[in-house]
Order: sequence, then structure tokens, then C-alpha cells
Amino acid sequence: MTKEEFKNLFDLYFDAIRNYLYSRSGDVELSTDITQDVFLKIWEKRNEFKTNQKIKPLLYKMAGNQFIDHIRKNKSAEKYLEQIQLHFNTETPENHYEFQELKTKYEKALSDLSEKERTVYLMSRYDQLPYKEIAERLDLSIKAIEKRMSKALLILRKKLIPNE
Amino acid sequence: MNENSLHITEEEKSLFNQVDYPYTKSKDDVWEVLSDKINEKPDSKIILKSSKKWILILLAFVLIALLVGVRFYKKTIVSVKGEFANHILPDGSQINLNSESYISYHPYWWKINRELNFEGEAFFEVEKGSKFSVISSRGKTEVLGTSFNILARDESYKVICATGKVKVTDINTKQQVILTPKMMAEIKDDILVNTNVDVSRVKGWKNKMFVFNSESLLEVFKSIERHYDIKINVEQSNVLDLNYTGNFQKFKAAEESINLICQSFNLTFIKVNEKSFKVVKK
Repeated sequence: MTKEEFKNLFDLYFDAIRNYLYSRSGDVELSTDITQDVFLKIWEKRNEFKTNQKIKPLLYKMAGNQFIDHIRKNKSAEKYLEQIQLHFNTETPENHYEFQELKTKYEKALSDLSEKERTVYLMSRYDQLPYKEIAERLDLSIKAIEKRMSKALLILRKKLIPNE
Repeated sequence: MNENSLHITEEEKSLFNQVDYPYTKSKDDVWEVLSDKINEKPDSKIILKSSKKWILILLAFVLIALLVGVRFYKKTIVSVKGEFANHILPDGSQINLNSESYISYHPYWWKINRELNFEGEAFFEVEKGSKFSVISSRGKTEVLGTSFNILARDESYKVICATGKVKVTDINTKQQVILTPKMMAEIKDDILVNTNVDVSRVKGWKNKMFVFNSESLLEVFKSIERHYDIKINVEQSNVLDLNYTGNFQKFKAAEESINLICQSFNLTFIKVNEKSFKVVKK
């Protein structure tokens, strides 16, 4: 792998990996750090990869493993997750207060989802990946993805839409 | 967030397009850091690592091949019909080879183990030192600095000890016997030990004399054939069973040696050509 090829890889998947880590941890700094580490490792071990090896799922796997290692080392409380925070980059609507309230509610609902549900949901909605792609990257069946997705939607609907 | 389907709607898409995760460092920021780290470690180092491994493996193979080649390098000394051969071994031990004999050994292994393979007839003068072994198809002779004569041809195996002590082993039966000077061991079906052998028989062929001690004419003519590199054809086979005892010099001309034998037995001979003779009863 040349440096050029590596840069291409980085450009293609850096955001996706970082977002994946954020969907699991809710920690922006941690997500950035681990993603950087993962890519550095890829570079260091570039001669060990076979030509047909699928890098995509490997990146996700490495990121996930390192995340788990981090949790184990730090032994933070079970509720490791900090609040998922979303940042809207457009002007907020006029009903600022209502908007904020809904935003907070949404963020909390997302945080309440299990890691599995949340990750799939955000990969679909935020990263806008088709289910097939999510399945490939996480090394799961499409059925499994659909299952997690429905569950996520169910919970979100319950929490966000009163009295449904 | 009303969804009726699992899949993302256009509405959602546009909504999520306005959302960012609140990262503090940008993608480019991270690339800058990575790029620096990558440049710290030059490529060449890594390539060297993996090829270095192969070079080392190759070197090891070459070294082993060299060592094996050296260790197992074999030296062979041969004396053909009608010739003698002399050889001095790496430790100074001497071997006199009679006609049609050979020895072979590993020169580079000699210091560790003095062992050689041998067929034919030879006189060994062994320097004092570690065990000295002579291996033939029928017997093995081991010594510790001494001199002895071994006859190992076809099915015969005869050892005469001239000086020192010699241990003779029958390769087939593993029987062993220890010889002291003037003793002879002969392997036929089992080991026979014959004391008081005339050691001059041994020195005989070395000193260019034929020495026969009650040996069949078959053996006598064989010895003559070998020495002169000729063929002696004896018509009547019962002649070959006759025994001869005597010694005489190895005449330059084969005729003279053959003549001498014939005279003792009322035989006569015809020279067919330079290399072939016929012996008949008178």
C-alpha cells in the first residue's frame, strides 16, 4: 500500500468509522482518537494484508474492538454513554424553544436506545447507508439489521410521539 | 418522526443533512497528525524487515548445505590390478594397498572419528590416538595405534596383527575377538583364531614377494593374476585344489612366477597372449 492508496482509504472511511464510534459512545474526543489509532494501525500493518482482504469490515471491527478495550480499561459505569448530541448546522426554526425541547427529547431517546439499535439507526439515517451496506460493514445479515432498525424505530416512536 | 417504513424517507434525509456530530477536530486535522506519524517511519525500514528475514533463512540453508557437504566429503583411494597404492591419512596413519583394493573415508570428519571403508588387501600402520575403525562388508577391525594386515575380498575376511592390539568383529554375527601380534583372525562361518601366524606372509606382498602358506592353487593363481593383471586359465579344475606353501619374489615377468608354481606341480603353461595364460597338466 502506498501513501497515496492509504490517503484514499482514509478519505473514504474516516468519517464513517468515526461516526460509528460516536453512535456507540457518544464521546466525540474518544471517537476521533480511536479512529486515528485504527488508521495508524492499518498503515503499520499494511504489508500484512492479503490483496483480496476486505478492509471495510476490518476497519469497523478494529474500531469496535478498540472501543471495547477502552471501556474495559476505564471500567466506567455501565451507563458509559454520554448523551448523544446532535448539532444542527442550519438556522433553527422560529419556534426556537419548542425546537430545542424536541431536539433534547430526541437526543435523549437516541441515548436510551441500546448500542446495537442506535448504531444501525444512525448508520441508516445519519450516514445514509443502505441496509445491505450496513450489513456488510458490521458483518451481520440484512435480516439482523432490519430487526435492529425496527426495534429502534419502535422505541423512538414511543418516546417521541406522545400518546400513540 | 413518523415512519411507516424502515427505510429512510426523503424528509428524513433532508433533515439529517442538517445534522452534524459535534466533533472538535476535523478530518483534515486528523490527517495532518497521521501524515506526520507516517513520515516518521520510512518505508525502507519495513521492507528491510521482511526481506531480511528471507536473507537470513537463505543464509542458514547455504551454511547448512556447506557444513553437510564438508562433513560428508568422501575421499576414495583405489589400487587397480597390478598396482600398489599408498596413502597417508590426515592423522599420519599409513595404508599400503595391495592390488584391486580401495579405501574411502571422510577427511573433514577424521579428527572426530577415525573410520574408513575398505575392501581388498591392505597393511595399516595406525598412529596412536582415538579409536581407528576399518569397515568391510564382512568384518570390522578396530585398533588403538598398532599395525595389522586385513584381507577383505569377496567372502573372505582375514586379519593378521603385526604389532599392538586389534579387535575384529564379524559384521553379520557380531562376534568379536581381540588379536595380539602374530595372531590371525579369519571369518568364515564363525570367527577362527589362529595363533602364531608367520607375519612375513603379511610383509610378503608389501616387500614384493609372493608368500603362500598352504594355500590352494586357486588362491595362488588368483594372487598372480591380480598382481600382473593377467588371466590364468586352468584346464583341469582338480588342479586348483592342490595346496602350495612357499615364497618367492615377484618376478618382473609373469611367466617366471607361473613357471615356478608349475614346476612344483608337474604342470606346464602356454602363453596365449600378453595378458592370458593357460595351465595344463604335463
